[in-house]
Amino acid sequence: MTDPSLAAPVVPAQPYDWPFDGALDPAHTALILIDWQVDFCGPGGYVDRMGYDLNLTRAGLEPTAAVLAAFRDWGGTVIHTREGHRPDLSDCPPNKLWRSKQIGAGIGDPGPAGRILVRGEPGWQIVPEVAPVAGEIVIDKPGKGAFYATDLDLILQTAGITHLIFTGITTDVCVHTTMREANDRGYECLLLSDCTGATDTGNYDAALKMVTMQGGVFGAIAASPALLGVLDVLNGRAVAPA
Amino acid sequence: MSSTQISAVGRTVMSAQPYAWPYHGRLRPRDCALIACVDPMWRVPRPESDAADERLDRLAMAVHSAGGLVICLTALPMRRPRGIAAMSAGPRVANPVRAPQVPIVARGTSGFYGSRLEPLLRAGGYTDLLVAGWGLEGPVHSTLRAANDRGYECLLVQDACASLTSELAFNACEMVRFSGGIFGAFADAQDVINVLAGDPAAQPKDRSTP
Repeated sequence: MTDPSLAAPVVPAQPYDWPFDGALDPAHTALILIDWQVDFCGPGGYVDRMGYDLNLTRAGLEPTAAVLAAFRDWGGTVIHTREGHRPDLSDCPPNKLWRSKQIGAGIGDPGPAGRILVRGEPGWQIVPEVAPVAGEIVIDKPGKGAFYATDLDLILQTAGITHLIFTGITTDVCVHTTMREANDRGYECLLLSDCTGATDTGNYDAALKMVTMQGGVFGAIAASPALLGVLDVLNGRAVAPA
Repeated sequence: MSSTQISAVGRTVMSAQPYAWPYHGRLRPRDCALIACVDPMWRVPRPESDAADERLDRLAMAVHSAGGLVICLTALPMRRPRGIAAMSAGPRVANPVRAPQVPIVARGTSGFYGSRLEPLLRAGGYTDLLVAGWGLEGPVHSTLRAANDRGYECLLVQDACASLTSELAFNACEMVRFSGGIFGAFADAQDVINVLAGDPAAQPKDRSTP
């Protein structure tokens, strides 16, 4: 009979404790930080120009910073993503450009945070609270999904990473698209519900529900304290509950 | 006000939200493909699903008759964690689409993953996509998102979709509508059918299938 105290810790999550295989291991787990850029959560950026409430997209920053610190201590792989386009917009589909202009936040247009959603501009930078440190991977993507037109999958496969923990913005757009892509590719995914935000609370709630529907068709969700508790145990700062 | 507009310049689905679709204002049926998601795993037996099936069938016939392409999308069995509930879909039901169609099998909820969908669309010059079918929150949305990232101009035909719940169906459309149509636009099937039927010059292109 297996001694339950020897079992690998799992994160209490919905609709199942994560990961399903109990294999929480820093060598095979990556923390993915989606688009924590000024354009999505800073003044004068893309989301601000569209007139949405920045408090909603910034709500997950503080808990994400705490998770990032614990995850770095644990030794897992940290991957940041940034959405943005080349300065000549040659990688921006014309319909995406057109739509952005209709809502008054034209991609490539000048603004308080530089040219909107253009690589290298102030608005494209990751905010200091969760900025990458030396050695961390940064993925630049032209679309919503971090797997499309990037080397993310190659990097994960090469590193032998099988488990992904998601934070970032916005929940219903780039985070959900990337999580769906990851799930299709067989990665075991967890979304930290308080480490993400959307421009609309209804869409945020629905996005979480879409993860957990059908028994967890895209993975599982948990609040960050659930993960931090497990990382504390794994980092030797706490004892596993009996 | 009419929900459709037909002019010498082009046609759009005027009732689409948040903008008259397609954005370029020159809808040509022969540039359109309908991606009908018909994986039985996602067909939940709700009263609304039967009506959605009927609209999907009529939409597919309209696309085909106007010269567009009808694609029926299914998926190989998903990798699912052990120990969690099986999908709650009801008994297997037949594909409701009766129009001539190209079957595509994907390896995930997105029709673009592990399939020949993209080369088929590129080779045929299909740039404007209608997306509908079973699993509005699942394969329909995943395929819509993947298509949008690839630059396709997408219209979610919302009432030709079967969803898990009415609440999720509402937000699945809201997610499209926000930020000026971040994944495209959405509209009702009848409005699309009206536009497709209004072009007497629409003829199928002579294409070879890769």
